[in-house]
Amino acid sequence: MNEINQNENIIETINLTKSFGKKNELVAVDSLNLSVKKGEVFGFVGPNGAGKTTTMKMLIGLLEPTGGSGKVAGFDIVREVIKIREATGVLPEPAGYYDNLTARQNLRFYAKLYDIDEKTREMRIVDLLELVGLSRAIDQRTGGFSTGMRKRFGLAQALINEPNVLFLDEPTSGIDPLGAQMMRDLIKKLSKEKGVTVFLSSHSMAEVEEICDRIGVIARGKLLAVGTVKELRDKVREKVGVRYALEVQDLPVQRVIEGLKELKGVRSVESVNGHISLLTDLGARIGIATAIKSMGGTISMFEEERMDLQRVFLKLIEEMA
Amino acid sequence: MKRNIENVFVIAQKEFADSLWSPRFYLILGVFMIALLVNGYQAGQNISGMPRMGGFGGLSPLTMGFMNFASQMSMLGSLTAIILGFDAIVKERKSGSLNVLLTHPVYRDQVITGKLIGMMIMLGFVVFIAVGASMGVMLGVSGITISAEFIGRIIVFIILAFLFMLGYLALSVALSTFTKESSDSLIYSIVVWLVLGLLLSPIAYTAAGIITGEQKMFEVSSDDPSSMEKMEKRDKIARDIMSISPSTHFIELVTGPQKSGIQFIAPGGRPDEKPSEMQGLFDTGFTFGYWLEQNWVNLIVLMVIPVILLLMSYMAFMRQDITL
Repeated sequence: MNEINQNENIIETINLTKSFGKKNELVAVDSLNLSVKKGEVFGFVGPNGAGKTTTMKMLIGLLEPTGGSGKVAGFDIVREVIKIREATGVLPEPAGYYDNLTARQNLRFYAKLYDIDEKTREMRIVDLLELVGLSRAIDQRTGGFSTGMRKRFGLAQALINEPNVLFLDEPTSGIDPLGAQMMRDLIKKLSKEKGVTVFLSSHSMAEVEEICDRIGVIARGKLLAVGTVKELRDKVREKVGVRYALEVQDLPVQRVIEGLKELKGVRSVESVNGHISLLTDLGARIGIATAIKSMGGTISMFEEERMDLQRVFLKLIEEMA
Repeated sequence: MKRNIENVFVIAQKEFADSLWSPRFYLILGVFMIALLVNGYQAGQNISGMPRMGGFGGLSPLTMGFMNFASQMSMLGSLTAIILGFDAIVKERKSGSLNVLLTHPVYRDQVITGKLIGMMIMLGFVVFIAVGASMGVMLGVSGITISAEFIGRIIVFIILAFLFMLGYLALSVALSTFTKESSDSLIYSIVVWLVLGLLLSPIAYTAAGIITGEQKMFEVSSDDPSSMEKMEKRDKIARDIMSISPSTHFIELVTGPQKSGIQFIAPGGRPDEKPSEMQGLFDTGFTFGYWLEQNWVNLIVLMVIPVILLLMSYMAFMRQDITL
C-alpha cells in the first residue's frame, strides 16, 4: 500500500474527462481538477446528470477516462484499479446484495475477495454489523432488510477491507430522517475516529453542510467551485451580494435610505415591512455602521440574511446557466 | 495472480451454492430426475422381461433403454440447463449486486469466468446425479450386470449429456447477458428450446417433403425404386436442416443416424436382424473407436456450440456497461 502523508492528497485528478458516444460528443465529465486530503470528508454535489457518479466510477476504476488522469490512495485510476479497490470501500447507488444470503454470508463472500484470514474475517463481520447497528440481523437474509437497513449494510460491506478511502454515492437517499441521521453520525465517526477519507455525493445540502469539511460543486461535467461551506458562501456573496435587514433608531427611515444610497459598497437599499433591506458588497458592513453613526442614528438591528448551502448551490448553478 | 485465480473460485463457489439452494432449481431438477428415474425403471422392467440377446432391430433392450434415456435427456436436460442459466447475468445486473461486486478487487473477466465455472460445475453435478441415479434404477430393476466396456460407454454418455446441456446453458447465459429483464431471457430461451427441440423436426421433414415431393412419412412402395430414393433424399435434406439443433447431434451420437420411421428396421429384414450400420454409442456390436470415427463431426459440433455461446456471453459481458 502506498504511504500517504496527512497533508498529501489521497484523491487527485488532473483534467479528468469522460465522454460518451461514437465521437465522444457527450461530455459527462469535463477536465476535472480535484484534490481531496487524507482524513477529509469531501462532499460532491450537483444536479442530476452533472457527472458525480461518472466521476466516482472513474475514481474506482469502473469507467476508463477518455482524458486526463487521476490517483486514489497513490494508485493510478487506469493502471492500478485492483490496488485502488483494495484500498477503498464503495457504497454505490443503486446497491444490491445477494438477497438469498444472510448479512453474515454476504459479508463473508465480499471478505473472501481480499487477503483476510478466516478468524479476522469472522470477527470483522461481527464488528462491522455491530458498528452499523445490524448485530441482531446478522443471520437474517438481506432480502428482508428495509431500505435503511440496506444502506447501513452497504456501509458495512464497504468497510469490509478496512479502507483508507470511502466512496459513498447518495448514502442517505430513500431512508427516513432517523436512519439518515444515523448514517451521518456513522460517517462522521469513521472520519474522526478512524481517519477514513470520505468522498460522498449527495443531493441533500443539509447533509453535506453537516458532515463535509469541503465541498465540490459540479454541473454539466464542470467543477464550478470547491471549498468549505464558508468559502463557497463567500464566493456566492461576492458575486450576488450580501443582504442585510437593518433597523435604526433616532433617524427617519427615509433619511437612512438617502444616506446609504450613495455609500460605496451598497448595491441597493429599500424599506421593507418597517425595516431597511440592504444589498451590499462583501465587507461593506463596517462602512454602513460608520455611516449611520455619523448620521446620528443608533443601530438596533443589523442582521445578515443567512444564505444556506441550498441557496449557495442554486446561485452557483444559476450563474453557470 | 494467485489472488485473481482465488477470486474466480470464490465467485464460482458462490454461483454453485446459489443454484444448490435455489427452490426454483430444485423444482425443475425434481421433474427432470423423476422423468429419468421413471425411464430407468421402465427400461429395467423391459430388460428383465426380454431375452438378453434379443431386442428390437438387433439392439439389446439395454441399448434401447439408453436410447429412450437420450431422447428424454434431449428434452428435459436442455430445459434444466436453461433454468440454471437464464438469469445468471441479468438478475445480478438488475438487482445492483454486480454494481457492488465490481467495487471489490475483481475484474469483469473474473466475474464472468467465475460465474460460468460455478454453473458448469453445477451442471456436471446435475448430469452425474441424474444419469447415475437413473442408470442405477435401470440396472437394479433389470438385475443384469454390465461389462467394463459398457461402463466406459456410460461415462462417455455422461460427458455427451454434459456437453449437450452445456450448449443450452451457454445459450441461456448469452441471452441473460443481452437482455434487460430475466423474464425476457427466459422467454427467448424457451422459444429457442421449443424451436430446436420440438418444432424443428416436423418443420425440417415438411420442408424436405415439399422439396423432394415425398410427403408421406412411412409408405415406401416396393414397386417404385424411386420412392425409396426420394425418401432417402428427403431424410438427408431434413437431417441437414436439423443439424442446426444440438439435439440432433446429441441424439445421433447416442442412437445413431436418424431416419424417419425406419430407424431400427432394415429394409426387408426381420425386427431382430442385426443392422449393418452402427446404432449409436451403446451399440456394442461395434467398437468405441468405430463410433468415434463415425461420429467425430457430431462430437465436434456438440463441443463447439457451447464454446461459441460462452465466448459470446463473455465478450458481451466485457463490453457492456453492466453497472447501473
